[in-house]
Amino acid sequence: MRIAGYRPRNSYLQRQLDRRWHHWLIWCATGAAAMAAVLGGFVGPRQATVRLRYEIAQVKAEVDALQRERRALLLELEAETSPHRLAADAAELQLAGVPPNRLLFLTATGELVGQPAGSSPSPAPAQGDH
Amino acid sequence: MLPPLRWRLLVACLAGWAVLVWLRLGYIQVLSHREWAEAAARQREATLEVEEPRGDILSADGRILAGSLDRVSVYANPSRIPRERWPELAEKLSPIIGVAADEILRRFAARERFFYLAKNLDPVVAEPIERLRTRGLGTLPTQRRVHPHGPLAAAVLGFVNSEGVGQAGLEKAYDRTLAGTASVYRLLRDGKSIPTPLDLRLEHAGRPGLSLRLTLDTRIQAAVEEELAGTLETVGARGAAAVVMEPTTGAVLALASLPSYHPDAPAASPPEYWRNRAVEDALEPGSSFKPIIVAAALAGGGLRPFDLIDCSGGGVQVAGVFMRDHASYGLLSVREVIARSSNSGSIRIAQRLSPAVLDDTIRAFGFGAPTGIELPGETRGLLHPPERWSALSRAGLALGQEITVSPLQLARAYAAFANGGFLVEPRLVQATTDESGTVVTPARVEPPRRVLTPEVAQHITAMLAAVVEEGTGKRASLAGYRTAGKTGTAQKSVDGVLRSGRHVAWFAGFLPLPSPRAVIVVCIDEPRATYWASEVAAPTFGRIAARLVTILGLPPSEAVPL
Repeated sequence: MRIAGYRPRNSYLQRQLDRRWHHWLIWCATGAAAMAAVLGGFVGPRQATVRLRYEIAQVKAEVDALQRERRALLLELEAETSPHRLAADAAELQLAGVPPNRLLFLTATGELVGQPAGSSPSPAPAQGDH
Repeated sequence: MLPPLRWRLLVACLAGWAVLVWLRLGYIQVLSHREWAEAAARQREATLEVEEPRGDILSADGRILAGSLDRVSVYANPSRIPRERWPELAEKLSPIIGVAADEILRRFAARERFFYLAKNLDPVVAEPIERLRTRGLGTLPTQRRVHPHGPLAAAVLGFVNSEGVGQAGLEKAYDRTLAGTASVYRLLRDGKSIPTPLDLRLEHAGRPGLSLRLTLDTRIQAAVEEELAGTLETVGARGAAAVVMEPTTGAVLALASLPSYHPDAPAASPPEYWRNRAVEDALEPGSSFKPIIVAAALAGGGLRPFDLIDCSGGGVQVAGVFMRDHASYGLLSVREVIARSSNSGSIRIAQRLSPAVLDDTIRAFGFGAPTGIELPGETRGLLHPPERWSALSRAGLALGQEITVSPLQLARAYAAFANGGFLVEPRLVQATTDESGTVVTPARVEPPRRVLTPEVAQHITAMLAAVVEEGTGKRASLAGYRTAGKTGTAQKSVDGVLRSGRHVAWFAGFLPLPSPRAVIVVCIDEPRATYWASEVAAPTFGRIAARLVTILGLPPSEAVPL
């Protein structure tokens, strides 16, 4: 028989909420946390290594650049002080050549002698096939 | 529920599939492991070959004659760059590499494959280009050879080509030593397959090139080149060469060849200028060869220094040919024959010797064979074996005409007079050194070979001193320093025929006596203004000697009034 408007109030008839998924959720969360911990354990140090390598690469590049600059400067110094350049720039550098007659040499016997800087006065050239 | 038979079938199928999967996995993971691992590495890794720096060439006084600078070259491979990105890239690249954007676009369009957009750029341009992170565009490390002293000793140093390979001189002779070997690195590619400098791993360590320490002294080399250039300009010669060598060790202090070139840009000069005349040219030595003939006669021909030779008649008849002398000298001592450079006297002395003895002595002095100096293309000179000599050959040799020698060969022979009779091996390289300057390989020094008795060497030295003091070489003298030497003016032969109007002027000598420190040979090829050696080569020798004694700080052997 059907009674219109009747609602059973008995609590035992009320449907209980299904909470069994909580159990799965906890497992999943725990699994994810464990996975994250494991991955973090692997990736973290690796990331630190990569960062360190990057920094090393940066420093090495700087060192290389400085060494290149040092090398370029060394070669420039060579060029600036080459005998040809110095001879060409002697006047500009206000370097005065010492005349040969002002050079003196100390011989092995302790004697002070003059040192000529040019060939002796040219005699007339001899004739013939020399 | 499935009937048991179907269950069994299903399980069997699944098991079969699982077995297949496992077998395949086993095949891939175990049997083909290496192949797949390499394929994976190829995908994520790249190989980078980095050239180790080429060694320097250093002078004896520690100057860098040739060195390398790190540079980069910018490459592009337009086929790997999306066409729509070309204009944007050209705009960005233009200020970095200093090439107009339009020009870059034109080059992109003109070439499909890999090419160099720019070469020899400062390495600072590499970073902004790498930041563009574009596949098909990048930089490659390279090196540029520089010569801080310009053309100084260019003929000795040689040059390298655009690939950094030695093409001439010491750069060619010591290419493998100077170049070293490249290092190989492995590096990761990023998501776009562009190599990144992170995680750079050395796979094969290269070796930097070793440096060469030479015996050349930059100050002496510069002085010699300057004096030689002055002579070249004054007399308008075709070329000139000079050698300065230590007589006891064979160490070459200077080796000059003019006209020369700048080794930074060899292509700017004609290839003829690349030749090292002091080593590669063989020319008639003329009268500078007479001391060799006299030495042969003193050593094995029964000649004594004060024997008198008939030099009358203004010449001598040989095999029906009259060979002229400069004058009718009458009787001359051997010393005077050399001092006056008498042709008759030299011919008569040469005719006292058998062809075999003469040939043996000439070869003992190192003529007709390379000296063994560490330079490519060395001439051996021309010296026919006695079997091919004519009736005129001994007379020709006495005048230094049937033979050709290089300036270096002549310097070596004169060194034997200067050092008491030993033939030394000329050498340019003292040692190979590493980056820190530590000697890796010292130069192999051949023990000198005795070719003359000390007495004969002494007699020849005295005769050569007389040449400078009272003979044809007066203009080579240097007050305060006793000098020995000999002039030589020779007609050049072209295709075996002596040509008038084409001469070579020589002066070979050494100083200071009695303990010579340097042998100097000057050779002027085809001087125009005047061709006599006494007027062209001897004064050049004198000027070089004057500068040499100052540089070496040699005290005068004789006091000069103050």
